[in-house]
Amino acid sequence: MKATQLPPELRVPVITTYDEAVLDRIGNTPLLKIKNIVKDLGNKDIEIYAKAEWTNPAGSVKARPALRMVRDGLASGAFKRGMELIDSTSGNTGVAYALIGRILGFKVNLVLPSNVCKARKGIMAKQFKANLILSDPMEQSDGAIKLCRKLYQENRDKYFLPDQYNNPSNWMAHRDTTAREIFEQTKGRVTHFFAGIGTSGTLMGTSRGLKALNSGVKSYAVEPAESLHGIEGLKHMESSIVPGIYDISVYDEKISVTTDEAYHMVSRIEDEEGLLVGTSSGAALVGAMKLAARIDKGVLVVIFPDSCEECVVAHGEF
Amino acid sequence: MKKVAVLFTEFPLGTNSTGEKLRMSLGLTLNDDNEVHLLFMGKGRHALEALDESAAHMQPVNKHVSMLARLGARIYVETGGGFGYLPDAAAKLKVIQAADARALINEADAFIH
Ligand SMILES: Cc1ncc(COP(=O)(O)O)c(C=O)c1O
Repeated sequence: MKATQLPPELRVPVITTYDEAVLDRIGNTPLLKIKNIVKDLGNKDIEIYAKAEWTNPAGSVKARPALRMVRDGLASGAFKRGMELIDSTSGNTGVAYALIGRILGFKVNLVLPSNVCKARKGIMAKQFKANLILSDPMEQSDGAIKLCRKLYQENRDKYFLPDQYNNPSNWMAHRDTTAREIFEQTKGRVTHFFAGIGTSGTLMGTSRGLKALNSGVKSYAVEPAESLHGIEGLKHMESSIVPGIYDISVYDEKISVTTDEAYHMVSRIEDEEGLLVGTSSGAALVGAMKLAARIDKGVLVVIFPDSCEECVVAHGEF
Repeated sequence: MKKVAVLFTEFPLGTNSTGEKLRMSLGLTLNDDNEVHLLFMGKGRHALEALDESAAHMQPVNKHVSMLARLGARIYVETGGGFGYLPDAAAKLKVIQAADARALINEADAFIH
């Protein structure tokens, strides 16, 4: 199957009306079986499933924490009427904030490295009307974090800063939704869980939730092997500002993946599974395949955070 | 004798309200005048599974469920869930449909949700 012929439920949702019902469609994403790439493993009793997070409104896993952070901010009073949202983002959280802001009626300011996927920036600015503030691409996401903090400090009454790197609502969104969905979708059979780490919210929350539901579940952090890498959305922890929500005791092991390995896997996922995914999805599956080579049986679940569909579809438009 | 129905529909690891309602149910069960009916529906069914609540940074759920089962509270669970129920609860629970839950709630003298 060609990725461009995917059924609508496996594509990035097209948003045409901005009412709150759109927010109810965040979460409950499909869990897809990886059918062909697993053949590399021979006859082992291993199943690998991918959580198709690009099917969330705004096209990525980040819709879950973005919504939770906004709702918790509104509930606690930190985010008051008339204030604007500001945050640093590698792109996906920004698209999610922008969509949510457009629906709930607040202004969204996003600080992001100027090299982040062109199509995504176009979507945010044009369709969801977010205000983009570009930071130095050489400093990657850390540069965006620093610039965002500076702008916030200068005008604290104006801005609500969800601060996804330090906000527990980020990981709690995954404990309460992603973990439960994976447990239910595998009928409690999940044994190993894999997620790339950006803010680490997905890994922290889903691992905590899964381990609470079944203490035997093992979880793995997938990390770029190089400090200067091309895996969008992921962080090389040793050379980065470590997120406040990151806790190494939550997961069992870290698996390093090179940019080349991730890119190669992205094209295999397209050719062999018919899915157009982003590079962090490729990295996560490489991580799962590396672990799978060491074990004899298991039900492995990998997060596929976003797709590259919009990059392809929108190519040249922005 | 008063019939009290307590409804659990929320994911027990995402809210403290499951733990709170279970504690309240315990108190009610200890009073001989009450007949306590616990209804675990949808996402609420997870409260009957063996949980490690501390891993999720949540307050205890399981120990209250076990205690309630031992004290004779009536436990109902919506069909379709169940990836390993707590032995204490499993021995006691009755699998029901949404319509049965509605009927139980309508019959009850008090309803906690
Ligand atoms: C494409 C992509 N993959 C992975 C991640 C990592 O997710 P998390 O921030 O939950 O660690 C992000 C976001 O940061 C992302 O945008």
